[in-house]
Amino acid sequence: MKKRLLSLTLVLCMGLSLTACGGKRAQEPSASEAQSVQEATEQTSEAAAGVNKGPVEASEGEQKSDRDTLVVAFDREPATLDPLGNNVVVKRMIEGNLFDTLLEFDTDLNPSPCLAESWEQVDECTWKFHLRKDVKFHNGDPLTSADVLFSFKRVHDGTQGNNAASQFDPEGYETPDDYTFILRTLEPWAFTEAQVCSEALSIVPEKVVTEMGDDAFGRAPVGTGAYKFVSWTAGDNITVERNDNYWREPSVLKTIKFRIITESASRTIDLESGGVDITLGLPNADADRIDENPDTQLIISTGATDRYIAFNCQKEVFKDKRVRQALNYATDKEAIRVVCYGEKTSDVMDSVVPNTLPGHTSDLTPYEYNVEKAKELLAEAGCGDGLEVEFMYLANSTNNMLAELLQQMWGEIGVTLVLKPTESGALTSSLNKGEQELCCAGTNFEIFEAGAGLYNMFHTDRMYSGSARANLSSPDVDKVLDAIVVTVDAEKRAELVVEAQKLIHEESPFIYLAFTKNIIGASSKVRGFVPVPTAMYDFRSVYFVE
Amino acid sequence: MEHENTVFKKRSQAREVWRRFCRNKQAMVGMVMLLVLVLAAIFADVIAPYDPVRQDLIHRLQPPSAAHWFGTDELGRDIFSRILYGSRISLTVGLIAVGISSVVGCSLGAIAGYYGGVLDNVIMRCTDILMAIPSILLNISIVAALGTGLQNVMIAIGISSVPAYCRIMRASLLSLKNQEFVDASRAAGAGDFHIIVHHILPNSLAPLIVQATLKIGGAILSCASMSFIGLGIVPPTPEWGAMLSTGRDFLRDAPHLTAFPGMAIMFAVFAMNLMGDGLRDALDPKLKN
Amino acid sequence: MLKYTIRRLLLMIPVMLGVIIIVFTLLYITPGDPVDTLLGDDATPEMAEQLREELGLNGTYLERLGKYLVNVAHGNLGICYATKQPVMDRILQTFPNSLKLAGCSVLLAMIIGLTFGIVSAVKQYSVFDNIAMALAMVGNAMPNFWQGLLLMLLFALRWKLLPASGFDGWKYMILPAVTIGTSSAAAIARMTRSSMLEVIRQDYIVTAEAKGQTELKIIIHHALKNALIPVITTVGIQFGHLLGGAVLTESIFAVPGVGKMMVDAIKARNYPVVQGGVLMVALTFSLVNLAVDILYAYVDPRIRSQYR
Repeated sequence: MKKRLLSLTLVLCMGLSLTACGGKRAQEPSASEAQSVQEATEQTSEAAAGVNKGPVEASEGEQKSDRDTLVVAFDREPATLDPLGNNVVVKRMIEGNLFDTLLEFDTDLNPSPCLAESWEQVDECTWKFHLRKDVKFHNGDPLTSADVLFSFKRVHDGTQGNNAASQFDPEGYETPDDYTFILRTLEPWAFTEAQVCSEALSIVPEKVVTEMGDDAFGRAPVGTGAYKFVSWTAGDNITVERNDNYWREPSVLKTIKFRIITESASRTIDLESGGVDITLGLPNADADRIDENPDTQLIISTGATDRYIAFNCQKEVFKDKRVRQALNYATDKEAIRVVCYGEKTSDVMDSVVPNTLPGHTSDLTPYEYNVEKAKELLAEAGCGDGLEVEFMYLANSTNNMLAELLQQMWGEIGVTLVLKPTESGALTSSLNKGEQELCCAGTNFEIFEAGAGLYNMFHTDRMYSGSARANLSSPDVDKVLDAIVVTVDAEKRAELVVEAQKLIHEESPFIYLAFTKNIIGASSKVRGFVPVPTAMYDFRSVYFVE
Repeated sequence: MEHENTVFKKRSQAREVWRRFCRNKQAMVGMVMLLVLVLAAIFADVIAPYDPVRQDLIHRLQPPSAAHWFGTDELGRDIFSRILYGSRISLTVGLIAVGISSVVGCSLGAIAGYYGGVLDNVIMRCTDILMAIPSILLNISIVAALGTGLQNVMIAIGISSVPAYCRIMRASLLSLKNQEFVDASRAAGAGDFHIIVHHILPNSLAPLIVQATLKIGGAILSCASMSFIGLGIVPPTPEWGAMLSTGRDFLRDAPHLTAFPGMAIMFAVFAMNLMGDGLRDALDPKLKN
Repeated sequence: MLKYTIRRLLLMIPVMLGVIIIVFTLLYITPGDPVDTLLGDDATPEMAEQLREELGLNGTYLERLGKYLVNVAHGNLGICYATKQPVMDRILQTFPNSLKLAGCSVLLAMIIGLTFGIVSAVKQYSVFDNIAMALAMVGNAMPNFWQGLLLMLLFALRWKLLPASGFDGWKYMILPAVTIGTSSAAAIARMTRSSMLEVIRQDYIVTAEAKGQTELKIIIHHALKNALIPVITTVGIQFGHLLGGAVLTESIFAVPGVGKMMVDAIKARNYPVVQGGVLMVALTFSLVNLAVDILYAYVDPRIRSQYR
């Protein structure tokens, strides 16, 4: 009993530490979101303390099982497992198990040593990494700085949407010896360490990649990671196996089978019927049942994902800030959050920066649900007689609900919302051209740096890019964002981030809907799973009990 | 005089078919079911206890009760009312999609069969092409090209079932076009169009009607499939397939969200199939003694 | 007979050409750009332009169509935009799964459909006839994906008899095969019943009856053989359509089939995969139809005489 209490306390502490953690980094999945046909519920992250469920360890009287195959279900098959490919969360997660990066985020989202045992900033633009000497690729070749150099350089030449090296100088890399690697940024850049942590800059073996070619390598990757690639059955599963010569603690389990189950209802049923041990991206409607079912457990992890409605600020109707604000007032955000994203599986979104990241502020005055005020503002802006706006969104059931809710709410202030559910292929292209008046999107702050995310979302330079769905162009905002990007001091940067949030909030380019969390369902026999906020789950510590 | 004769003959023929149809218990069941549907569609606004699109978040996902016979959906809308209104949508989809395909299909089939030769060959190869592409893929491609929405879904479903009508029409034309009464009419100076519309169409109506009735059910099912893929109608239109498809997220905790729309679809398709079979039996006396 | 077969095979060429052109045109006018999906959110316009160039998306409609047709004529279906594998490889990864599934479902559908159909016809208007036909129609009237989910709930979750999803052996095939098979079974049952009814009333059956042969013998030896002809058509068409058309079932049961692959490809605007997939499915469909027609000839000598 005592032990159980102890473990419970530990779990709670872990949960708390996860939430309290200061995050870093940025970027988004709104086009990747657009692709994910099945659900918007998927890319959830983020959480408040009490709800968070940490890793569950075996309690007293539980016998460790000798089962050594873990089946993990996820929603969408990656096109390739080459780090060179585009950023899709689950793809990156699988890659994280096959490859290592120079640095990695610890549980507090701070960059910590991985393949580089130490690193230093030489001058404003130059960083020096000292590699571990005991690392071997799965084929037995040792890791050297040449491989690191190769891995970084190929990202510059890649055409698959990986722009992780865009701030680095392609000519500035150096390898003074086999275990030292130097990189230079084009200009002083605050997010270098965070970017180096990203799976997009995983280290690949130069020899193997050159021999196989990029495309073949992506179907049979070789890395330094905790698992070796075994097989890939198209459309069905990707299987990996423990790397016994891993330079860190090797995995407890021998095999992991990542199964592709597109349909979310089937994914849940397969978990409940025992065909799957861990289901990533559980629909929030299933969360309570999975929690209550004695055969399954619910694991919720914090992340850094926003869900919002974005006004296209470049469209005539939304050029007037007051119209955007009016519609913001006319939206009952809490109702939408509860209905669409689940009361327990999401948090109130009070700013555009997730509450897990440093610089997040809760001091902004929210646009509370106030129909009268909305009408006033609308009249002030000269749209008192009503307005017709078109809402373009990815056709799935969560978004349909959102659209229907919005339609009714805005109807009360005389705004007619024309719904335009669109399938993914057409949606992304339309959005990239800025054809929409209104869309809904989610942003996953990929490198956990608020500043980097904000830059992508709101800087004039990034207008009409995949992350900037509001296409905001405000000189004031740009100024602060430009400052953030070059401010290396974390505390100062956080202050600037707060300032940026205030400015952006005033502009009302978004209607904040929710911070969503990563919802994971697991069999009740699974132990040791760590729900890290990055969603880059490491399965090494996972095991089964009888 | 002769004209009167044909009218009389037609009427008696129709009466005979009707008599056979009425004797068929299954067909009668189908007709009663269809009648229920049509009445539901016509009087939806009178019968429906609630507004089918009015949301009530406080009472969302409620199981069936006295207040809400079929419960409420994910946004607190009354499912019974939505199903009533949904019958309008489903019947519209069924009728218009079938209308499109039968008109286009019959015209093409008539042209092919009547004129024969190169034209026949070209048209028949075109139907071969449409037949060779699985209809659901064709539907998806067409809706993806035209955009989502009720109208485009109906067009897509309509196009993909054109070949069936085309073939039926052509086959009956081929068997009819050299019969005496057609020759007689031609000798009397009737034009091609007149001959096809006045002589051939009425005589090839039977298999077409059967096919159309059966296809209405198919169209309703296809529409539901499109909703499942996310290429269906635009919400909040209460279309059964869309309701069923949204409800699958609540399949376990609120099964009424899927059960009622699912049964509604089954009811409609079932009715159409019973009717179609009944009509086939009634129109084709060979099968009945 | 050989001449006939060759003529039919030659006729397939314009049909396949038509399939290619239709699919190509539909994809061409569909809004959306594969590059946007491929690159994700972080891409720069330059990156997009470069990729567009690499994939040959900058040509005019006729240029691109012409190039594609030339490639197909050389047996080259192109390269998948996403995985960079030859499209043929991707088809070969998924096609056998769909083939297996379609085969299984048709087999199942035939067993159920023929049994129900025959018994219904022989015992016309009996209780069995009514129940069987009602069942067949229920199978036909149920939306496939709903039926699939309900089957999964019952057999995988409630009774834990069968795996819920995946494609890893015969056990995994049962639920999807039943899901797809029931609607085909319904079609086959109805077809069998009506063609049996027609045959049973023919003179030679009556003669056979008069000669005192047993009912079972008559059904099997005389009636069934003749009643089978229209049934074969139905089976052929069903099989062809199940190959690429079992999209929803494949999605529900996570079967890596060709239908699901094509739908995903349509959504990602992965043109070569859609075109290649549809072409293969259409080709198989046409071949199956040809096989059915040839089979006809063996069953029915009257038809054989027409095939010269």
